[in-house]
Amino acid sequence: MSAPILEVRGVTKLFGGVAAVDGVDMEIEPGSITAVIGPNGAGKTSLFNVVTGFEVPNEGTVRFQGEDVTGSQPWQIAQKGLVRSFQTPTGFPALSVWENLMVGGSNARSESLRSALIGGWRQAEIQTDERGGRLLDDLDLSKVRDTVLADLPPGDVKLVDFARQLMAEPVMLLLDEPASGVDPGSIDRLSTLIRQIRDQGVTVLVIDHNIGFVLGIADRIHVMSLGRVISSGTPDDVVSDPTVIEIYLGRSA
Amino acid sequence: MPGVILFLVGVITLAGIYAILAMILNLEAGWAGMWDLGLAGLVAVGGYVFIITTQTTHEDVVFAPGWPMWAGVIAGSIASGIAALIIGIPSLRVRGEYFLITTLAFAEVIRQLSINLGTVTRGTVGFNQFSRPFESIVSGSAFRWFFMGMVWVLVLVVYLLMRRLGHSPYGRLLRGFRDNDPVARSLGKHTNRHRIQTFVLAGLMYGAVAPLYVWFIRTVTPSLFTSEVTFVTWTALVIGGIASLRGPIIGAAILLIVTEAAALVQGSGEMAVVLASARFIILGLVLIIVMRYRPEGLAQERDAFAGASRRLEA
Repeated sequence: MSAPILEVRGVTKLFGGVAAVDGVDMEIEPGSITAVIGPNGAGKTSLFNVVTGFEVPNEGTVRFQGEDVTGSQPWQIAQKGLVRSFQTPTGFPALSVWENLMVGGSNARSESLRSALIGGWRQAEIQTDERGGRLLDDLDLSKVRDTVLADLPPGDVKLVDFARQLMAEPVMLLLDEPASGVDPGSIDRLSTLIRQIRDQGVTVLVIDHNIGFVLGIADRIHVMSLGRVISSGTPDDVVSDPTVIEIYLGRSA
Repeated sequence: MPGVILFLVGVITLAGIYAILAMILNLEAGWAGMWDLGLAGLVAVGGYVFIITTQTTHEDVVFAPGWPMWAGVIAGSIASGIAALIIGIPSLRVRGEYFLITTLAFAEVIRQLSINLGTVTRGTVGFNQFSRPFESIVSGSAFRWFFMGMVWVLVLVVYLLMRRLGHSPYGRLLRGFRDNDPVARSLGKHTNRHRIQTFVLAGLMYGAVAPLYVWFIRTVTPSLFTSEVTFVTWTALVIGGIASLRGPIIGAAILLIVTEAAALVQGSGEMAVVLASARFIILGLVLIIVMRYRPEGLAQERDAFAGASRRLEA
């Protein structure tokens, strides 16, 4: 195994004395699709929040590409190439689909007040627009290019979320329940998309409840329960692990 | 009836001044999502710094350097910008309500200071002996027309600046993180820096246009900068269409003309008192009617920025 792209060491996150994340260790291999599964309240999203800087852990460290990012600001971590999604389809509701993608793809220089006043953002904007146009075509969103996000159905908002994150050219993508709220017919398309991204060299870490979806795409799975990782391995290892079966089915096999 | 016409010139001038204030408010609140309830305080800082630095007579004030007008405008602008920075740094880290309360309190503090720092601000007496730009060249009633033109040229200049900002990647980012800050941060955007920069820019602009208000009223007293200034500006922006481009101008024009028109109705002295208080009733009615039938305002954000993807090709 090559050096892990993301290394979580002994991370604990307490909320009023309750450990949402309890001494979690995790190593993510570059270029893989890794899934974190577990029942509600297992601490999956809290772990995501710690990794992406939205929460500061009480204990432990997070290293991304060998660099300690524990306690860094979310925007600093994102600028290093670690981009996340959120559980509920969100994005920028007042902006059009195209504008949403452009925000994802623009850099700090062209978005500065200075550039707005004296100009100089047009060239970067044209390049970002080209990338955005290709992505809109790939995701079949070109027809809603100028629609305001607030006017789109949730399924499409989810796709735009995805596109916006890809526009940020992530090194690693953290997806928080990408399959929830997506109609079953589109799950296969989503799986294909995530695999394509992985094949382009992006490491993917995904949280989801849909076991079928997760087993279908993940190279490795970590199972969490009550803030701890209780099982790790390939999809085959995990589904045959008695502890996992007990948590999911409520009895030992 | 030249009296009526001169009165209308005054109303249109004041509408222009409020249009500029509403455009600045639109930048910070409409686009960047910072609900500033203390803009009267920023205008007061600009207005007072301008009038104090341009005073020439030392009679009952300790500081009267007698700077030229342009230097006073710049000084007022910078002072308001600094005030915005001082309010912005602590209150913009914690979002929303804290900013609202801080700005409201700031405006009140500035007003109390202007009353109590009598040796600098001449307290409630204030200033009323000062000249206005080009007054020596354009004299008498012609000056009112000239001043109206000057204000509306500035309305156009500020509008063009706002259009430039609104259609830039910077403006787009503001309208994005206004509604969803976590998503913006998760894309690597330093949203707090953008907020503070934008608020300081708004402060600089409020300070720079404050002399217009001072020249129009022809006196500087604490009662000029009450929260009424803030709320009339807000009402104009909401009626015109928050986060749109032309909304602030449309809103200010309609609001000022409708409310001031009450003063045109001829009547007895008793009637005048009734009509004066009717201004606020009219203001409230206009607001309710617009909110009922067109809640996003007369001009709308989605129309102002429709087809953004095609602008790039042009």
